[in-house]
Amino acid sequence: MKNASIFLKVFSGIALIRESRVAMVGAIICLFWLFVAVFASVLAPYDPVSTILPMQGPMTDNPAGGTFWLGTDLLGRDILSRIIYGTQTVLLYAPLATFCAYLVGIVMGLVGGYYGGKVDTALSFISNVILSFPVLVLYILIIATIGASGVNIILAVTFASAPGIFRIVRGLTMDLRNREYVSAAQTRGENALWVMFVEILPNARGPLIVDACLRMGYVIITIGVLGFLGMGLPPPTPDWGGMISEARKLFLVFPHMAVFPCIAISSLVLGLNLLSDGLREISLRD
Amino acid sequence: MIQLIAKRLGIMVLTMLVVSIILFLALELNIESVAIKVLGPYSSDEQRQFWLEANGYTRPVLERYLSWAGNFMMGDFGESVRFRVPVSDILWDRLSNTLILAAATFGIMIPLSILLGILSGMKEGSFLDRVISLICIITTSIPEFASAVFLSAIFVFSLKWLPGTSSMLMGFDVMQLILPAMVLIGYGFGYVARMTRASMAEVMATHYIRTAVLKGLPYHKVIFKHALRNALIAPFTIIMLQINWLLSGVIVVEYAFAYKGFGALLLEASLNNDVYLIEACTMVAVCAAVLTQLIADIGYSYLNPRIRFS
Repeated sequence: MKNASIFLKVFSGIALIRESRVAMVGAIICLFWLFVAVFASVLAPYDPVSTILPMQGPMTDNPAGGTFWLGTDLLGRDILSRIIYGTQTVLLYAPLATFCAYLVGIVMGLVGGYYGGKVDTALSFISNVILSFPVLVLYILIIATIGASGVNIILAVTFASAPGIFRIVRGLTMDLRNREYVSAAQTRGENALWVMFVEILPNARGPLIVDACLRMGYVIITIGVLGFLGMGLPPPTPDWGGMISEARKLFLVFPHMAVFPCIAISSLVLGLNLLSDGLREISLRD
Repeated sequence: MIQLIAKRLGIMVLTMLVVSIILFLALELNIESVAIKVLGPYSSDEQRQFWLEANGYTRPVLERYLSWAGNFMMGDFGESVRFRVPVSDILWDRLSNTLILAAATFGIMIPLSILLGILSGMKEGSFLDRVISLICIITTSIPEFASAVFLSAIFVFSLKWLPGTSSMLMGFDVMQLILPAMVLIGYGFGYVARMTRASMAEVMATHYIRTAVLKGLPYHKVIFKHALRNALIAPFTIIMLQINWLLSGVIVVEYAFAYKGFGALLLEASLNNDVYLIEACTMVAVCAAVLTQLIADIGYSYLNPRIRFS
């Protein structure tokens, strides 16, 4: 019975999206890329890492049959296939990194906001120190120190984003901890962990979901920027930012190598931004 | 007020202290790589050790940190191993280049975004509002490196109007400043415009605006005399905080267009483990970020009488 009601809640939450056209468009764009990522092996016409024919413009025919719809890059790999497989990379690392950042940020925020006092002061000081860096400076310093790899990118995102999430969760927690249902739980003798995660956290979900969509967009941009600066995932991996970085030197001769990955990344971020915008609109309405 | 400023300045100094120590320790982890960067990957271990010793890198961390910090206070930032000159020789030069770029960006971005924000916030839900909001959300979704690619594809590759790099080797050239500034404006203006819009829309819904309209004031008077003053308080803070964002933005843009600025310098320093250069650049960046935040807070409480007098 309880399960059924949870399903109902989630379902009605999803159905809410239909109330905002902006959110619908955003959700459709995101679902499109999710579809591309899941069915990459079916959709991609070529292998993303195999060399076929270098430097072909968009829409050229492959002598061996088939067409390079978006052309090939300097190593002769099909750009469309690389973009399609790159979707998997982006949609693996960005949500994972965002999730890790949220995990850390939420725990920090709940503890800081619920207990207050010295713990809160210490946590706030740490996050203020981290937040006083210009974001990209922090990423570059971390990646330059620990090296560029998938795990390290997740670590860097967690380290740099958790303080921002901490601030939001802390504010929400400080607001919610004086509610009656929290006092009721405390009087019941529930332990602090229960109160934080069962009573407070679910009631803070609204702003957090909106922020998560927005932040995921930023994380995608960040992964793209790191790839662009040559600090992203190691080369053979199809990664949008890395593709743009490789194309940079030849840009004035073969702009198509950079333009298409840029369109891909911008559209995905746009989808997430529209989704978060629409969700905020819906949450403000009631 | 003075107490607040003093307290915040104190926190700022403390922050910079902590940051500098953390950086020093983090870079300490692979101090060997400094020698590798200087001597090349084919140098022997002995050569590296010798180099480290000769340049004072083998002294205890604490001692090196203290001597660096002492010199830093006196304005001596140490020597860059990458450029082989004192850090301060390149730092100020690069910083002033970035300031030119930042001034060009802000000079256009701020009036543009405030104008758009006011136009769309004046009548929430109007056609104009929808168009402006859509433009804003699309432009803020295109990251700087992507818009750098798009704009160069249009203006450099297709139209051939503008130069593709902005290294300014032949002296200052305004034409080379256009693309980098355009990219920064394109990514940044949407956010400020949306914030201005939200603040304007909020003000337009208040009772005193309704009263002003109902008592028959001309619409432009309502907007300019009554609405704007209150609607621009929040965007002021946002604009100050944009400076922090700009410091990140210039890294991408300067790298993309080979502009010789502070962002590119910081990137180069980090890629080369140039300890003293990284320290100096980061101190400047953190200092700028914290100072603008302080100015934003002071300005906000000054502009908003409800806070000023409480």
